[in-house]
Amino acid sequence: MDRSIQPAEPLAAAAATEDVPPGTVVVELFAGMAELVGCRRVSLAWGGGDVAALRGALARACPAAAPLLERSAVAIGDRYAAEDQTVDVGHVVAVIPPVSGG
Amino acid sequence: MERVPVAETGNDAPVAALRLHVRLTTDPLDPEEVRRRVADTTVGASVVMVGTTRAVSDGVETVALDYEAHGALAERVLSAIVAAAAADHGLVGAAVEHRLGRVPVGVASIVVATAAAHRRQAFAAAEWIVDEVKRRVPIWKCDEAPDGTRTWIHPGTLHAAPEQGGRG
Repeated sequence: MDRSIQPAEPLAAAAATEDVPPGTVVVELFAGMAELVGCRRVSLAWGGGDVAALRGALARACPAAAPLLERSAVAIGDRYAAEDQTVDVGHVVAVIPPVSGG
Repeated sequence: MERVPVAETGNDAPVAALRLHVRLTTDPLDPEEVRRRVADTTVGASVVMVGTTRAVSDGVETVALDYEAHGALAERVLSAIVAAAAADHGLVGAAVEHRLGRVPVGVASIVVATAAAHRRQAFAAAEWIVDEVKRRVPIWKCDEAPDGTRTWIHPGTLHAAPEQGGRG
């Protein structure tokens, strides 16, 4: 497993807790996305915006993950989110790369 | 989602409530136990599909698959899928259990069970459920090769609209 790729500066490994630091969103990562970024949860400084904006911020923070991020869906809590859905500070967001269950 | 008890109609005539069940687990799967969750005495046909780890995929040898999931989202989408299958195909019951963690070659990773009065509904619904699980349930497999190399499988692009957590 390639762990050499580290999160870029705006990303910080989030504590394994439901507590979300002020002014941030926590982004959960799975499977190949977690492998690319090098951790399963990151906190991202967040001034507000929609899912598309968050996607852009993640891509800038971790360019190595950008190609897979483009092919991924985003969930807020336990629901898939539309690109224009607002992401609020304190939300827990998940990046859902293409699935392969079954 | 656990089995729903028998409901009463407005005419006091008992009708069997849908028997719907989903589960993600690191434990070994038991197909017969899953079948029993969906079948009752009104059932004329039960279909059980057991998906197992293949030794060779596209010419590449595999020793095991390692599954992980977004648990809450996966359970919610699975619940929506079995409910939609039951409604669309007139089922008595539908269930999906999916294994998480390492699943060696030959071992079951998924069990889908459907039950209906007649076989055609049960077969059609089981196939539809498997297709939907593969299309939109947030579960991922990592292929483990004989030399220990691990590769996450991410086919295509996931375009999961927000409403897809529901019927469809």
